[in-house]
Amino acid sequence: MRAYVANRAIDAALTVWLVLTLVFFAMRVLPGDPAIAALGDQASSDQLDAFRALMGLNDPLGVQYLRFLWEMLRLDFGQSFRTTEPIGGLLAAALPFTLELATAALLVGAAIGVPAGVVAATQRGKAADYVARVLSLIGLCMPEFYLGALLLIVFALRLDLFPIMGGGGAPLDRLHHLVLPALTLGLVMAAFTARLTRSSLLEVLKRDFIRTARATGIAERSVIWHSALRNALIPVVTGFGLYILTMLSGSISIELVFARPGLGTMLVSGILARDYPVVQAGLVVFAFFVVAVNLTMDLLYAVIDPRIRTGNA
Amino acid sequence: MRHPATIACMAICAIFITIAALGPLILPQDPLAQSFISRLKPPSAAHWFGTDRYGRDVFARVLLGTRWSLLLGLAAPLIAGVFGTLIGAAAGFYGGWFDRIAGRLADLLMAFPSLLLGILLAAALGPGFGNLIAAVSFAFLPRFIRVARAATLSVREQLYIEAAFAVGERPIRIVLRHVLPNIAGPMIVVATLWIATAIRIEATLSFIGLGVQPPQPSWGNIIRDGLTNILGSPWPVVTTGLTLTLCVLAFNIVGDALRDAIDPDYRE
Amino acid sequence: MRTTRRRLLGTGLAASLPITAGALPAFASASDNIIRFGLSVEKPASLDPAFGIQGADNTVTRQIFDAFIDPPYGTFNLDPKGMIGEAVEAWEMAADSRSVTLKLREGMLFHKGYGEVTADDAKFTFDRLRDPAGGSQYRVFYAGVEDITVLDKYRIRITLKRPDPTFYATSLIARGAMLVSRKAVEALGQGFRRTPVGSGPFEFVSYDNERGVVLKPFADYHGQKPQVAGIEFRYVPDSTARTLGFLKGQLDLIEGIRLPGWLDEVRGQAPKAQFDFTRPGSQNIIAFNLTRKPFDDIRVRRAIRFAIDRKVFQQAYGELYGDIWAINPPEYPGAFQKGQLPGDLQYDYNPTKAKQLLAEAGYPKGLSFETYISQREDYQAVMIMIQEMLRAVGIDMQLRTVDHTAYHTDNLRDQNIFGMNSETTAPVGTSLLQTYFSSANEVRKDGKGGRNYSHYGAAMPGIDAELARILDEPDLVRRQALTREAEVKILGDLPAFNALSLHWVFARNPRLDLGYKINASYAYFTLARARFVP
Repeated sequence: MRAYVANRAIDAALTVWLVLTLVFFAMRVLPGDPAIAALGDQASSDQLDAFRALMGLNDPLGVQYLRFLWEMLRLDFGQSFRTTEPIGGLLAAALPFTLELATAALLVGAAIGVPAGVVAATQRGKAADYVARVLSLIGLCMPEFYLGALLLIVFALRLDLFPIMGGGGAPLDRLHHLVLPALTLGLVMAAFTARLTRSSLLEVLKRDFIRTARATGIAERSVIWHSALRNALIPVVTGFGLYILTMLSGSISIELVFARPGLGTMLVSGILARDYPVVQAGLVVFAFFVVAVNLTMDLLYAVIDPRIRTGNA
Repeated sequence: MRHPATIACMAICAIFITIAALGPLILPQDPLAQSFISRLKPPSAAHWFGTDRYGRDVFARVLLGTRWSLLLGLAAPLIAGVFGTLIGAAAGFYGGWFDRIAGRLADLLMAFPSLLLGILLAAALGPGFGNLIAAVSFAFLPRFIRVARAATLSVREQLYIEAAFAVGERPIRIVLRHVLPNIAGPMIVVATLWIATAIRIEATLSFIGLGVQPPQPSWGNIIRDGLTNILGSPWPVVTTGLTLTLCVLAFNIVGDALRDAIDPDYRE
Repeated sequence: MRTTRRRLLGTGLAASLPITAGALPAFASASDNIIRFGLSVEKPASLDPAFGIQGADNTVTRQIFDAFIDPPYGTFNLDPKGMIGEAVEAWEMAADSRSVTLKLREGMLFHKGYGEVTADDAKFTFDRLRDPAGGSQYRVFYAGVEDITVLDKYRIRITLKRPDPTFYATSLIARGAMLVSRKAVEALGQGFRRTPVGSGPFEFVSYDNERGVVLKPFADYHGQKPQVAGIEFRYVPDSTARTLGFLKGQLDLIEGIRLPGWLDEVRGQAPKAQFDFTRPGSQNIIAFNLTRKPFDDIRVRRAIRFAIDRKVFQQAYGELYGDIWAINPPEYPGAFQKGQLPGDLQYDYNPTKAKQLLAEAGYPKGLSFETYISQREDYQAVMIMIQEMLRAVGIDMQLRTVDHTAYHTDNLRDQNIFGMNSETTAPVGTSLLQTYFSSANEVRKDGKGGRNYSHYGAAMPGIDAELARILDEPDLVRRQALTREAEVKILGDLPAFNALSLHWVFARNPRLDLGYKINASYAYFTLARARFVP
């Protein structure tokens, strides 16, 4: 177990390093001159020089790279070029909006996706199964920002049930603002969950212990909802890590659709304003998230499934 | 492969590819031409998808946008496929330190959903279609490396490879003549599977503002622009999004069908 | 579901999706008697009136600070006798137009216990505006000031280097000239931009993301007390959200959206909504950067001007649009009217000539350049239309969209090559000329220069001499003639041009009465007399 945890932790650290390196080189090396990338190709040489000096771009690349790693590891994101606000503060203001969106979407996704998957599996081949499968296929193909736009048009604009934009203020207001974005992402996630629940449940229903249970006369409903589903949900639950990450990427465009002041909005407005440090900080925080979620899921597996601890799996 | 839905989807894919290939030749109207007399019109015989706030024909814009979507949809899996196959095959064939490093890096990057990795890289590179292709291709790369490496490992066990070694063929020649042709099949299947995802990523990134820049239309930026104007007319958003969803759906189903036909055991 | 539902929507919408009565505009008087004003920017940038970065900040500062004088509210009537004194009880231009004496009201107080307003504060206000190192963008209006003397506790005298009969109209009205407290500025430093202290009818309470900037009536205000309980300036950059906030009654006033078709949409959905237009509104000056290729070539600049079709703008904007023939809009006293310009300086739409000029300049196949533009909708729309007009003559103008504040910051740092600036000035012929064409106001890399984005007068000989002559001329009619001469020279050199007038529009809850009617104004106005009516 200890070796397993250590291995996972090393992997996580390696991933952080890899992503930081990618971000660093993508922002500094690939587009040619980062100063030109930041200031536009019409910038004069004086401006470029001033920018380079400010960013420490005149130092050797190795020095810049190490300094960058050191700053990011200390979570020292510096300040925004544009407003000179400390980026730590911007992040602290934006994070709750993204986190509550992801959490709510996770709940919505599970609440819709699992029952839908169970119904599809137990009604296999019938109309309900067909409908569930088609809907989940569409859910998987429809980009989340389009689904969000449709919900916005119908429920906020036409039916006037929800606010159009923003993150909200007071707790209740905030919840009200959360509904549509969370529903959007949640539906996309429900499509994943329903699909996985269905196939996993069908697999389990073929197994011996289910046949035994049925033979002993336990009610079918109980067989499915207790014995079968409990086993079928293991891959679903362990797939949560992937869901969370998928949602994290979906949250960026959803925040734009609903003008939520979250991380994605911060990242995109940073890109628009060519606010280099803000973009960098946004990227790094997203990357940290991915790594943290993966590490947590890996450790959870180990708790759930003893085989992993001994390294047999 | 014979399922009617699959055949329909293949036809849809063919139509999208034709539209993209012919591009400007088949446009009913100039997609950039503005006309303020006929702005924000709902769909009609003259404007199938309606018009936007500048009176531009949304249908023509969507048709032209098909080019960008499919260009990225095909280019990114192709580029990632070529590089991924080479790296993966080299890693699988030669093993050793190169295999350990390449395999490990690919595994670590697999932790990222491709959409997220694509967004992060595109954000770092900045707006522009060239950067978009680079970002998405790179985001796909680890998937291809992993598949190519696994396929190479299984090919390497084959008798004819041992025979080739036995007769003293040089390794590079073995890779070119025996390994690559044998893993090409699965690699093409994998590439096909990623077309739909690539189209989706292109739309998402253009929506965010990182992809195709106005006034060049792409599905993503038409939806973004339409969203700022849903009060005037929701039609550009609705119709463009439908087109996008249909395209992703069709390529997804065709990709799945192709996979099932060629390689029934393949599981992502 | 109501019978009016179909009327509320464009036919296309009604035919498409259902809409309930919930989307009906619910105009009512605010129950808490607070005005909610939706602004078009993301957040306040600077609430220091001397350093406004974005127009929306002026809307806030106008309520917090006293102007010295201002034209009768809702007008640009610059008759000296009719001017309203806010902080000033009496003022007088000397007969030779070389000095002006201001007498402040006695006993006026600053907000937050910063004490009584004295002549020293007034002097400080002007000194700050004209300080060459200070970096106020209004500095150009005070370039002619020789000295400011405190005569006694309530009186100052501003002496001018040259006679200037219009000094009061450019420099004493509620542009930058808003009275600040010396003590507060010195005590708060940069913080003054976030927590402004003035002597106006409303005082600053707080700023946060949710409620925006909150103002409350200043209890010790020297004039008539406001009748509302406060103002909340909400920051709603998204135009759809702002419009809907208005239609739903959550916002009483919004900065309108100067996009093609917007006015008709709101009228269609809320027939009772009131609109306040400020004419002539903003002038959309587009500057060629003369120091960068290909705009160092006069033929390229002229080609672009000939490619611009006024009729397209007019179709697009309808009532919001105003024609421009020279630099100053025809509404300004003494300005060029249609058909008065010599030769082809009126630049009537002529794509053939544009192509011919491009060919002569060595671009027979057209040319391509990249410029960036603010994400604010009026900037975007104008540039997208121009982009299309230029495409028709073979010019590929690539647009990069950046945030509005970043856009202005970058423009002021000389980073754009074909940048647009939307500005409202008092109807004084020299305003635009000084701001955009005087070499003293040349844009600087450090961002501390002015708004002469073209480098006219530095990159090539400009109109400095003409401007000097205008500024030396004490007679108003002669001044106007000289101004027209300078305009002719600018139109010939074409370092920048005024593409169109775009009237500002505000949508207003019909229950909210401003206390006066707006006919003309800058893009902001006082809410001191506003009240909700039953």
